[in-house]
Amino acid sequence: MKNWLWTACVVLAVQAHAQKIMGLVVEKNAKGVEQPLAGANVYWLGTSIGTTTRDNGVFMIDRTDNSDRLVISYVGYKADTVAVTTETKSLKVELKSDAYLEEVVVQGWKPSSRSDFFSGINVIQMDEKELFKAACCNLSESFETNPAVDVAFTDAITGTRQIQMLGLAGPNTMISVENMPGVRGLAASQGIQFIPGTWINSIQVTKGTGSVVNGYESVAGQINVELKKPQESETLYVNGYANNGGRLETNLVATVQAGKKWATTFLVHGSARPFEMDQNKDAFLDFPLGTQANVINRWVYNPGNGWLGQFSLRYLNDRKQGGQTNFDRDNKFTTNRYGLEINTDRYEAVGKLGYQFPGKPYKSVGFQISGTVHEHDSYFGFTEHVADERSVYGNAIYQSIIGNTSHKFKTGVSFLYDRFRETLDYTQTGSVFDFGRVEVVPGGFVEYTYDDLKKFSVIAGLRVDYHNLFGVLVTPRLHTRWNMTESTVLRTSVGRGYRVANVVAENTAFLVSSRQLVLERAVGDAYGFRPDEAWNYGVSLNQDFTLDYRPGTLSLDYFFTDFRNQAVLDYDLNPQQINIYALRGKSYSHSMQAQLDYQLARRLDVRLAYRYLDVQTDYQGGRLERPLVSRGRAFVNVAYATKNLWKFDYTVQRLGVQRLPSTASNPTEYRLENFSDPYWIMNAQVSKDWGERWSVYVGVENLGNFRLDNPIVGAADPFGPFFDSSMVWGPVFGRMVYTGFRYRVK
Amino acid sequence: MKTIKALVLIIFISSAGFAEAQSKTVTANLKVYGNCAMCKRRIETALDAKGIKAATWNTKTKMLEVVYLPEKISEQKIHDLIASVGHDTDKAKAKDEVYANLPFCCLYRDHDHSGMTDN
Repeated sequence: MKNWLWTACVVLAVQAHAQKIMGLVVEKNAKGVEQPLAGANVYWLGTSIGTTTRDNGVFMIDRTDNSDRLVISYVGYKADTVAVTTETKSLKVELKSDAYLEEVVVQGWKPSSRSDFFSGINVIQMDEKELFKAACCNLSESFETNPAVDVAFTDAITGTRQIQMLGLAGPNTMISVENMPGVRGLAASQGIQFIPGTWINSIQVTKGTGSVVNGYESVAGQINVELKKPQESETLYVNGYANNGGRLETNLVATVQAGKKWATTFLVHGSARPFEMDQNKDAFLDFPLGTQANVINRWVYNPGNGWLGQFSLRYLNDRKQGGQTNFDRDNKFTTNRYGLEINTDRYEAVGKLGYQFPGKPYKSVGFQISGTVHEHDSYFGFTEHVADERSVYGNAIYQSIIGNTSHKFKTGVSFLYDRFRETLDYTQTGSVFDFGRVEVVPGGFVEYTYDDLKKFSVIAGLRVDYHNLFGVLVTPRLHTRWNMTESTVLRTSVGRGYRVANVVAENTAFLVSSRQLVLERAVGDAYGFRPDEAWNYGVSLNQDFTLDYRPGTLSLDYFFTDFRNQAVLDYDLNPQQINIYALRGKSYSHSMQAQLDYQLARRLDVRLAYRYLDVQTDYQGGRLERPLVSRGRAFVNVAYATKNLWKFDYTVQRLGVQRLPSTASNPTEYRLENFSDPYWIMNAQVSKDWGERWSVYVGVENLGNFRLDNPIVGAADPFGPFFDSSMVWGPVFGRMVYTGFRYRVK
Repeated sequence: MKTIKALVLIIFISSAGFAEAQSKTVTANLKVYGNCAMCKRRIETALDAKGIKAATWNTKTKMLEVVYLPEKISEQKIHDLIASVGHDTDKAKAKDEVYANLPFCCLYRDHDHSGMTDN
């Protein structure tokens, strides 16, 4: 008590002697809400003592004996004069506009609320803070802190990464960009490397089947990427990155407000890998040389009357050259050196138009259309793979309610046109495959949501598509949510998914080997296969808790995927072949995951996770575990931030054994073990922010320097029959040190 | 269902255990003057200090719930921390110079912008 009296005395004493007077200058906008007037002039009448108001409308001015009147003026407003006595401690002045100026209210636009859209579906939202933990470089590297998504190299030469969800290969997961087709078709193999990390605003990861609105394709899950938007991104964002593997990257995001109704954002990416790296001395580059230029220009139009328009244009140019050291293009199709090139050009245009009915936030209509040209030109030793895809996708969605907001529905139509030209040419043996085809798929969908606005919600969706090659595809899906208590949520999902497998483009790993392609049926549309068809069943439980005043979450989930039809890739039947045939029997995946997030102390977050997989398929040689899938993955992430904006992040994970494809019929020196060893991978990062604009980061990937000694089978004889780089089960490159910066202007 | 019950039980028991171990904490409710979500963030960040386990400020009621260890920090020190970032309490007043630099919506002495968010 004494203490506070003392403080009060000091405060009073200081105030009595204070020679400054403080004030606030405001105006009222059209709605009658006070706004600060920054830069208004404030001076003592008849003197030259003056100041101006700050951004928040506040001024502080020295008292003077020469005047007792303060004048407050601002261009376009009526000046005001206020009497000030020694008793006056602070004042507040409202200036009135001297002419009637029409107030233009620029309404902030919010995307069709994602949380609302997905409310009944279990979606993991990854925001920038999470994405910063992985400083490099594109979507394929964004999941380091997310145990639901595995990312692995497809082979030891091309540096291509693919994601895995529920133990199922990448393309089983639907990857969309702002709910439009993103990584699919020919882009399936390289596509996730074409979305730079710094362009990403947030990522939504859904395990199991997603909403029918987005199509019939999600079997294992859905990953939606939201890019930076004109209406919410920084005015300027510059990023630079370099690592000791010789990778250099730079990104730029710039937003310009073009008038009251238009805004535009430029997303620019440039990267290069100019230096040859061969750590394991097998005469093969650990990853290819290359360059990438990637540009998006997007516009948003918001006239403020309920309509909203968006369109964007994109160009991508990606060049990769890899293989043996000192290979150059002149050695193409010779046995001098083994080499490969993967060259991609991609053009995209997307347009969206939406209308929100005035006064009815639940009622809206939207039209979306996108067009893509994708050109893929590649060769691997003597194998040439050339393809291009032209595709157009459009949909119209209407959403409203039935009676009240407990009953919502979405309905609409969609259309997909997909034309592929694709040839695979084994130039040495002379066998040529031609996989050209046209897919035309009109469809319609209805999704009904019941939400009692308290405890339960049910989302029932049905879509029916007519595929020109495969007839009618019916896709039912059901999601339920039950808030058992305030902190417990139980969710279930059931649904069917279809997908036309692009068996070559999705599995380019077998091209980087001496394996010959053997298809069950030599010709036919879509490689002679019906679309993959699978049912997915999932259940998940989230429990929030507070322990010692700190929040935490425990999540448990289980997903079962049951394939009814599948184009099965068989690496085991013959190590000199890749056999692809239609599923006869069973093919399934069981996935179980437990995750614990807890704030151990202020600013110290810990995440523990364990995931178990059991993925099996009936091959021609019997039921086998799917090769190159880790049975178990254990994961610890620790993130700590200091008060002065140092951030420390550390991740350690253990990948369990993986079954390796059979090499029993090879000569001894070209044989592999039946199973890989389990191994540990550690990543660490330190970053420091200076103010709101600058941040610098330094990190190490693969701190333990674990790498495969001989990732390529038969590396010494790349043109022999036993050469195979597709059996890679761990890192090819050891410890990787990187550094980078971010500069942001809000 | 059994496993869920077991789980809930485990969490309950372990949190009870923790609560016992931390019995020296004191929970205080203080009036802190402020307006909006920005104020909330500022107040709660200011109380990210040694001896303070948790701090939550309610934008509507202006009440701060603070859990602290009296051995490590006094209540008056908590008031001073809040005042040092520009917010008045009933036992400490922020300096004018600090107050004058608050964003517009946080100028709680001049207007009540409780309903306003970060803009």
